[in-house]
Amino acid sequence: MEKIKNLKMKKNILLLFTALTIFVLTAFNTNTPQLSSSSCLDQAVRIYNIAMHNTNGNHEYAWGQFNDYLDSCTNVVQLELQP
Amino acid sequence: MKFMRLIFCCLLAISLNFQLNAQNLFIEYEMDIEPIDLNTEEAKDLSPQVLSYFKKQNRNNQYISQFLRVLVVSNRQEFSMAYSEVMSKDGIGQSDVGLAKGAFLNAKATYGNANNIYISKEKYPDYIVNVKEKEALDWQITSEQKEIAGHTCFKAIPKFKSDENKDKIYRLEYLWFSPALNYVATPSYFGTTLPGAVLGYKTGLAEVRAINIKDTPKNVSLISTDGKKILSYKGFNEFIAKKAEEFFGKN
Repeated sequence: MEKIKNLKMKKNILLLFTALTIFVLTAFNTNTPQLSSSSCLDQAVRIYNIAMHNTNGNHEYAWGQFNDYLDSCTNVVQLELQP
Repeated sequence: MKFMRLIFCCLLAISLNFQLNAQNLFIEYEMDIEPIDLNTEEAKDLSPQVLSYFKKQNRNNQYISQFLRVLVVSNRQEFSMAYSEVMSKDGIGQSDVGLAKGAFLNAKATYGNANNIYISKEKYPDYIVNVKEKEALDWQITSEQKEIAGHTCFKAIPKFKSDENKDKIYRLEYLWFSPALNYVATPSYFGTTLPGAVLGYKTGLAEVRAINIKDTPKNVSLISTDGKKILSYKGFNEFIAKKAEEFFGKN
C-alpha cells in the first residue's frame, strides 16, 4: 500500500515537472525574435524623421538611411527566424 | 627612306597626341566625414537600436574615409568626377560605402562644364540630376588664402539665390579654388564658374581637399543622358519625397 502511494506521488511529481517544463519553454521561447519586422519599420521611420530633421529636408539622404536601416534590420529578423 | 619617314611621322603623331592628352588635369581628393551628432536633444529619446545604428555608421564612415577618394579629370572646359573603388572588408559592405559617399555627394559620377553639371545616381540609373550653377548662386570671393597640394587657393563663399537648397548636408558652406590652375574642375555640385580648379570643398557633413594633382592622359568621362529623365536638384528631391510618401501611405 505504501509502495503504491509512493509510486503515485512520484508520478504526480513527474507530471508537475513536465507541465512546468512545457510552461517555461512556451513562456520564454528562445526562438522568438527580439525584433519584429513591424518594429524594424517603426525604427526605420524614426531614422527617416531624424535624417529629415538633421538635413533640413533632404529626402534623398533620409530615404537612403531609411532603406539601409530597413534592409539591415530585416536581415537580422530573417536570421533570427531561421531554425 | 619612305619607311623611315613613315616611322618618323607615326612617332611624331603619337608624341603630339600624348602631349595633347597630357594637358588634362587629374585631381585626387581625400575626405573627412563628420560624425552624426548624437549629443543633441533629439538623440536623447532614441531607442538603443537606432542609437547603435548611428554609432555604427559613424564608425564605418571614419574607417571608409581613410580609403575613399574623389577623382576628377578636367580638360579645362569640362570635367568628370567619380569615386575610387573601396573593397568590402571586415564587415564593411558596399551599402556602408554608399552611405559614406552619401555623406559628401550622393552620386555615381558627375560630368560638367561652366554652365551645367550632370549627376548620375547609383540607385536611380534612369535619372540624371542637372545643376545650373549660374542660376543657383553668386560667389563672394574673399582674400583669405590657403595652400592646398602646393597651390595657393582663395576661399569663395556661395550666396544662394533662393532657399530651395537649404539642407544642411549637401549645402556648400565654402570652397577653395586655385587661380593658377585654369581648369573647370570641382569634386561636387558647385565651383564651375570660378576662375580656377576647386581644390577644397566643405559641406555640412564632409570636407574634401586635394592631395594629388598631376597631368594625365585620361579623358573626361561623359554621362549618357539618352533615354534618361533629367531632373533639377529640387525636382529630384521631390521625386524621392513622392516615393517615400507612397511607401508610407501603403504601410
